[in-house]
Amino acid sequence: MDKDIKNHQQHLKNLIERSKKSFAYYLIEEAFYAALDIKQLDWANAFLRIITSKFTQSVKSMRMLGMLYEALQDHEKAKEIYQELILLNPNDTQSVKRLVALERDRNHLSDAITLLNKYLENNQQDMEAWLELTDMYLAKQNYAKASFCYEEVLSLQPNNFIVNLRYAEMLYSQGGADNLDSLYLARKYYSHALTMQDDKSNMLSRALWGLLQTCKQLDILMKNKEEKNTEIILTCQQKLKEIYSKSNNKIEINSMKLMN
Amino acid sequence: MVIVALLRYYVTKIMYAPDNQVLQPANMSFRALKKTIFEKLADFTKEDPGEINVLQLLESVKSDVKDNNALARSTRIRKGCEYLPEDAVKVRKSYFCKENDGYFNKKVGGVNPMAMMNPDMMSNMMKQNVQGMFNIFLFSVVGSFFSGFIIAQVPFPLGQKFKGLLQQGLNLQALDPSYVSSMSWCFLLIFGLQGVLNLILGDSDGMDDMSQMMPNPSQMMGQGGMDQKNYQALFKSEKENYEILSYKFRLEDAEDAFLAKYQKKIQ
Repeated sequence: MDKDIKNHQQHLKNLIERSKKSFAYYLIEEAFYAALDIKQLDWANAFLRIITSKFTQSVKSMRMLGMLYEALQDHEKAKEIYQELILLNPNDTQSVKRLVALERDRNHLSDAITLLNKYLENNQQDMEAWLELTDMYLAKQNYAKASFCYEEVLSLQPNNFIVNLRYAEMLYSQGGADNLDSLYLARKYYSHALTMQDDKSNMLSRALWGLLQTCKQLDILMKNKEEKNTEIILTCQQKLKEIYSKSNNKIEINSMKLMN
Repeated sequence: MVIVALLRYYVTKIMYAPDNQVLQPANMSFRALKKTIFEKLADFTKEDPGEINVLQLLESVKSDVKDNNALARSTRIRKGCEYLPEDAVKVRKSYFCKENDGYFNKKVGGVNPMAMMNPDMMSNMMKQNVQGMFNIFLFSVVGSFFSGFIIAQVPFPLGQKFKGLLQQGLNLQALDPSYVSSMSWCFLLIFGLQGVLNLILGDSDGMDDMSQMMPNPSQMMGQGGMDQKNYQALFKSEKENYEILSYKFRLEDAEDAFLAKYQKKIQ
């Protein structure tokens, strides 16, 4: 294995010499991340050494070192490196994000959430961070806060099917006997998502099931029946039957409880 | 002329090369790098920072980064508000505009008078001066070497008004305006070759001659405070925008739209 790395390193060095531009370093960086992904740490080490031979002690190579330690499961070390990078430059968003990911990896979900909240106070436009925070709140089953974060994403992409669908699902999860409004809203967002899709699209069934479930729930909880609600239920059921009858694997959906 | 312009382009490019932040050296203390492959690179003179409180550090982020992001978010929310539930919009509005402790009601520090002393700003100004010098240098060389020459003649008659444009450096009343003096030719080429140069170089980053030669007055005045926006005023106008925001929920009829779309297909 060691010999392999040497050969490869030699090969890469040749490559670098041949390509005069710094483009090759970009490739090595990618290779470094790939090596981390497949846990080939010897390789990662070699790649990192090549990069540091050119960019000695740059912020980026330090961050990459931190990632190497993350992959080695040495969380304390990685944390120290990231913290020091943030101390040097509090505007270093990438390092903060890595720290959040690290905390999440260590199952310190609350720490990660506090940190990310603080980060978002400074960078309120960072969609990636909002999505991550949504994800973490969902993992904690805190649907109210999760949907708040997801509203940020929704405001940016109000016509995205998936975003609308996920938001509706979060609203549905919050709904209950004491929170009928949120079920109504969920129904609206499900319908909105479905209206945006072409009706031959193969992404409908998840939204249809969700809408059906929401309406059934409303049906149970409402005092006086609403005609529109029953209509939606019927439409959903018919559409679902249509979709399932076309599919190759025959699933008996007629006997399912939701269908009756 | 093309060669001169190319030279200019590269000089500008070198001067304006953005210093990449991630490639700046990081002075790491010994503690963080102990037992790593970079152990030797650590800055041994640096004190051990001890326990680092990241949350506190994030507090110290520059406020204009923060304010910029907040403004952008508020604009985004206002734009997309029709697709958000009413409560969601209200919560955000109160976050931004609440009396006393809303985001837009907080005190913003005025423009920092020391900004001029900032080494970054100084070097920027110097670079701009060098840019200007280059143009002046070019003109003086062309002027002193070729003054008094007529270099070209446009193949159509022109009115007296064009004398100023085409015959700089020549003081001949009687000369027909269709003759072009060397100085003017230089002028015309600098502007005229821009398109050609864009084709050669592939990008037009360093080539904004127009803006270089005719700096707009606001830039001239406020070079020191150029990137220092007046957040107080921006916040105020943003708050007013919230006041006149008429909220209408777009999804009020979403169910009907859904039924209209899917119901009739089945019947």
